Amino acid sequence: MNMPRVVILRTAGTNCDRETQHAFERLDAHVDLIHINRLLETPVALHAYQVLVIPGGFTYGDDLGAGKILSLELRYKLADHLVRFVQDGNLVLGICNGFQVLVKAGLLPGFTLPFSREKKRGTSVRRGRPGRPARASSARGGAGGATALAAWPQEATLTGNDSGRFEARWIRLKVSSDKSEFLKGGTSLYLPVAHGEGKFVPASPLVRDQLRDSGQVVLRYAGPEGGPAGYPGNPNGSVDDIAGVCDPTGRILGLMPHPERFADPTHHPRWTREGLVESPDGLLIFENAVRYAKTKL
Amino acid sequence: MIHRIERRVREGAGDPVARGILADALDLGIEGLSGVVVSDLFWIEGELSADEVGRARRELFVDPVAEEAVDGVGEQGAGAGGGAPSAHWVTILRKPGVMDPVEGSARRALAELGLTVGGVRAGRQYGLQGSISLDQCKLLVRRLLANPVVDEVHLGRHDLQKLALGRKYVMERAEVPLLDATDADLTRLSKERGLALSIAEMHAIREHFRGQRRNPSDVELETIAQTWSEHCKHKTLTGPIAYKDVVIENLLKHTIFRVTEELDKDWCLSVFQDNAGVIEFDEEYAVCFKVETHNHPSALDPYGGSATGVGGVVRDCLGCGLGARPVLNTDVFCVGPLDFAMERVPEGVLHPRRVLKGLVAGVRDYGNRMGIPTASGAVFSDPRYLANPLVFCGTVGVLPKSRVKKGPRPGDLILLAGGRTGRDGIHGATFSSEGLTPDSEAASGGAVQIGNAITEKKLVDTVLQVAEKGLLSSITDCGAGGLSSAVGEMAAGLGAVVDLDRVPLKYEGLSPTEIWISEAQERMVLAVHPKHLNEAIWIFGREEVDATVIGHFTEDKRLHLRYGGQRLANLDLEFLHHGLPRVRLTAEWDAPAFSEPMVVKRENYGEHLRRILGSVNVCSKEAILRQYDHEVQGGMALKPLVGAANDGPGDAVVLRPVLSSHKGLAVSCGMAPRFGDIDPYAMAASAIDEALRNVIAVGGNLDRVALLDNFCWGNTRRSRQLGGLVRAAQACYDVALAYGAPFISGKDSLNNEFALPAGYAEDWLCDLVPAGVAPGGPGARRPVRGRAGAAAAPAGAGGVAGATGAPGGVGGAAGAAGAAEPWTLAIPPSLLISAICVMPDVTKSVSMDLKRSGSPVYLVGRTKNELGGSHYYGLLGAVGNAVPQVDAVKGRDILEALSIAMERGLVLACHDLCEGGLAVAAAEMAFAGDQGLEMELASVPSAVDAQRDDILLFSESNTRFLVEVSPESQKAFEDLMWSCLSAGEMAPPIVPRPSHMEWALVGWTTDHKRLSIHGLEGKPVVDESLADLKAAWQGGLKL
Repeated sequence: MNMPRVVILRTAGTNCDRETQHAFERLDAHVDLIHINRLLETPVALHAYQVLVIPGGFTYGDDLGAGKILSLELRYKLADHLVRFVQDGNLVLGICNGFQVLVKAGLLPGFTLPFSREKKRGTSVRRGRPGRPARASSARGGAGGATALAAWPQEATLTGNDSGRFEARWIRLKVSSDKSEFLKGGTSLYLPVAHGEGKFVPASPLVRDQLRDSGQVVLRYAGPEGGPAGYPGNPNGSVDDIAGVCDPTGRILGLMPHPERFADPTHHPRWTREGLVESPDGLLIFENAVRYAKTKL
Repeated sequence: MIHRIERRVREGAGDPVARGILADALDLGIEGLSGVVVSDLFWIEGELSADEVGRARRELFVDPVAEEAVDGVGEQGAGAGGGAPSAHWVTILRKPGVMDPVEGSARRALAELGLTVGGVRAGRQYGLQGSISLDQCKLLVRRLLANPVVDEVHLGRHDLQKLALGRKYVMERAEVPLLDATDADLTRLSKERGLALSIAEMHAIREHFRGQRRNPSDVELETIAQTWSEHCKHKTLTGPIAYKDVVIENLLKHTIFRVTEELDKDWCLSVFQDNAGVIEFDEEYAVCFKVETHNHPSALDPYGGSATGVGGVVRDCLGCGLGARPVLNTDVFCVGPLDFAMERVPEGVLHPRRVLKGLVAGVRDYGNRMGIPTASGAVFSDPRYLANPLVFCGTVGVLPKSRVKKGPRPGDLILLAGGRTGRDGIHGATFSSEGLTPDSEAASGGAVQIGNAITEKKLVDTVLQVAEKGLLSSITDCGAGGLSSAVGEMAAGLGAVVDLDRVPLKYEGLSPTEIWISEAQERMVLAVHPKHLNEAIWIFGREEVDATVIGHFTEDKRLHLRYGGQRLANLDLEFLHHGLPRVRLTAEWDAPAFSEPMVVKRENYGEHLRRILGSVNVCSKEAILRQYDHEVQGGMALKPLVGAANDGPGDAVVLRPVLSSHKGLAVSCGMAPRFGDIDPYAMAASAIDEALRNVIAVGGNLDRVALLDNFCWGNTRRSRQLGGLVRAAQACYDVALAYGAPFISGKDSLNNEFALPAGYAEDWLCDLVPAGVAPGGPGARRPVRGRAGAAAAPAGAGGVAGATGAPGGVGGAAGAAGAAEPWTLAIPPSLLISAICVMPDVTKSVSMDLKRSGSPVYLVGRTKNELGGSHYYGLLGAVGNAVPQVDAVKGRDILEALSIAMERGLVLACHDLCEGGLAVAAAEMAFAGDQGLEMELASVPSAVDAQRDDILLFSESNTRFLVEVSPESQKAFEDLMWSCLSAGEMAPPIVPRPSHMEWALVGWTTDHKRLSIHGLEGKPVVDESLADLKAAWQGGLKL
């Protein structure tokens, strides 16, 4: 049987690549870790995969703002291929630093992306064929595609935590919409966060409303009874407790918490009290991705 | 042309940085500060059009949602943001030559935008609002915003006219006139050049070159100084020491190494020879562990010091065998009292709170960026760490067993990979081998470095690829002494030729000597066979890591250095590595006598318990741990914070270094500096016992546990200091051997003393040492009135105070003559023991939080009348004398019995008893599990002379555990304890008295959220709500 193919994008300062790889491999996916320099040399290589993951870390040290420099590389050098990748019905997952990258690249929430008005997934989605050579229209790379994505606005940001410091802790999440392919069947999740810049801020009240109305806010920090989280349940002060957002198609997901850090029962902080769970919460996201990817094979 | 970009958080968005400064200013007593406007500044050098600058600003520097750009340096820009006009402006930049990672990243990102620039400099500007005076502004800068060691400060809204760094170096080959030098010349030379060489060592060098009939070049002399530094050679611990009636030829070999030799464990794969100790993990993998200190740099710049401390030890791990993958970082900090009065902090010393904040931030920023979990550690506080904080950083790594052995071959190329070389960190090795003075900050600024974690991350990523391909024959890191140490050590037994002009530089203007000894961070030296060179360089190049051939290994046993076609050095490696003259030191030790406190029998000890829980050494370290990404890499199976609310103090962490396996590592530490004043032997024994207890408490075992030692001491030229060190080392031998735990790696940092500035009165110092110091202390026979400096310097090992009430740990400078020598403040003798244990199955781990109500709770291990050095005595203002001892023969039985109990799954929760004794352990278990606990002191297994409530509650006797067992396992547990720990004649049904027992049932968990402990007379002596206890424990450390 063909295995779903996952590419984890790596660059200077990426650091959650191996555990993310391990989470996928538990589910029998084929995973390649690829350095961005390789992808820039041969961008069409992207189309050999069904899932692209931008993992956690501190790309380029987050020196000019979290995820900023990698987001520029995506905007300027890979925009065309990324758009096509999603248009072809493939999945993109950004975890923590990856979420920051996707937001700053304008891919999330991505209201104005070319595929944003596409109908909800169904039979109409075009099939991506692994390894297929790039189409002439989009294979020009360089200027054409680049300008297009560079022109899309950054509609939100992830900025410094209200606490003014890095926070590593476990938090409760509510799946607040069924729009994301990655969260099908999920209602609530218990996962760790570990970041200094995770406060989600929409660019305007308009964006905030649009996010809510479109169902693109798919994960919210939740209080013990499901109400507003408050600190530290909402560890960074995110507007509307937003922890994860998807694009209008539901195929791009960005989230601050780390699902790959609850992929083994011994990851749970209280397994010595509560026992080893059968299905760690974080696996849901990877299972959905693999299941979805299999339908594309 | 220079373009200036200023950005700040958008008005109304609220800037956490500014809020933090406001809060800290209040701490400083500055109340008039009403607001702070913080801007990041960037100066870009290059021919850019206004449009291009605009684009850079829009797309790169300023986040369109959260930030805004500010135009111009004029007042109109100044007024914007934060409303009120600013009373003062301050601009702070890194000094030229102190590399800021942001600058490199900005350059790279500008290139992504298609903008080529000459250079970028970054800075920060603070607009201080409200009614504050210029003096207050300067105070804020000095205490909070800037560190003169690394920062340049401009009052006002500063602008830069040029960015230039460095100038071209004009080659001069300098000879040092040594052949005819007198002793006075030699002493002067050593001092002027910062060589830290003794006169005997200078003699040896002079004789060597007389034999060669030539003077050394400056590079040669520097190379020898680096190689012979205490930091690199451990002269004290490996030199002959006269102690009592014997001469110990080599203390390390005689104690620490000997344990490992005698135990001869086949799973010890590499000990005391590589950058880290290596033990077998499973069929395929080995693990390595190294702990380093980075004390002196951290005293000057806590942030840069701890960050580069992490960076350095991570490279030790990367340079272990043929490359190990770092999987865990550990850190232990020793700092002064966090509530120390600001005005009493001497010049040239940072306040302990700022030190600790900086240390934590440095470890956080470096460790988190590297993607290595920082999860195991501790914080200790003692006034004597005020000027001499200690910073221990450790790294655990994983490598295939096939990559443990290494060694360069003649003809191999010397490949330098990673960061570029700059003028940073010159003389770190020799600097760290000397004591600190108030002038250290000015004189040794160059020894401080700013790390760049991402450069190191790239290095780790690529070196491991090169290693996996089998392209290396050897590798080591560039640490203290820079290339001189790295290449010098690798070339030992071979020989090497190095072309210093091939070394890639950060900026022009470095002399070849500077290149050779620079300790610039993030560099590794690799030995590569010529046939593998292209592939290795290709792998580095693919991920933008500099890798340059700078020379090759030879067979002539000589070190040749060249620069621009000139020969700068031709050193005999045999002399370099073995020519160091051995100096015999004298050690002595007499047990001091401290006063005993006035003990008043009390009805209730709740207040004492809460105060101990809130002390820095005991209290919750959550404020630190949450800033560390302690779960990255996805292997943490037992986290540092455990319990019902994920906030209880775990004894050790357990991690799975290989994600596909459930085999694990338990990692812990032990340290007991409070016992060292009374007896460094007991201190060392207790530290080992504690480290092992912690491993056992989480489900570890003694079958495969290894130890690391890190000695931090005062000036060991003083015989009492050295005597304490000898005793501590002896304890390491005795106790580790009895426990069957080999040492695999270690490091020492001696000379941790601070020369006090003139004018600091003796009474000022009196407060810094343990109170209640009494006649009969070591100083008693050595009066300390008057300036020390003569042999009568009163620095007892442990810095114990003298009879006159003169301060402990205060003494004259080492070997100095004359009355002008300053007083010095020595740290307490501080030995950190780290333990690493291979656990067959992490799912058998046990955490310390009580699990449910109605379960029996056992105390395993006997409580003795040992309150000396305890926290309880500390509260009573005394040190005492009955310091906890270790009975490692019984101790081993106890640890093994518990290990079996855990393996059989009989244990619900287990916590070791250490600081604060039984009362603290019980409280921690109860509030971590949010589960009540009721105990009877009358049941506590204890010595006959320990039958007093306060002793049973607070004695810090070693090898004790509090264990919760499920009711259904009660019989199995008791049977096991009977068979392992009880003498035959006391087997049931005879019920022995507690004083004969090594273990006993002491209480039950309950439904009430209270800790109730009944005293010997049956009345409650502690009856506290868990909420109150937890609040006290959580309130001890706010950062």
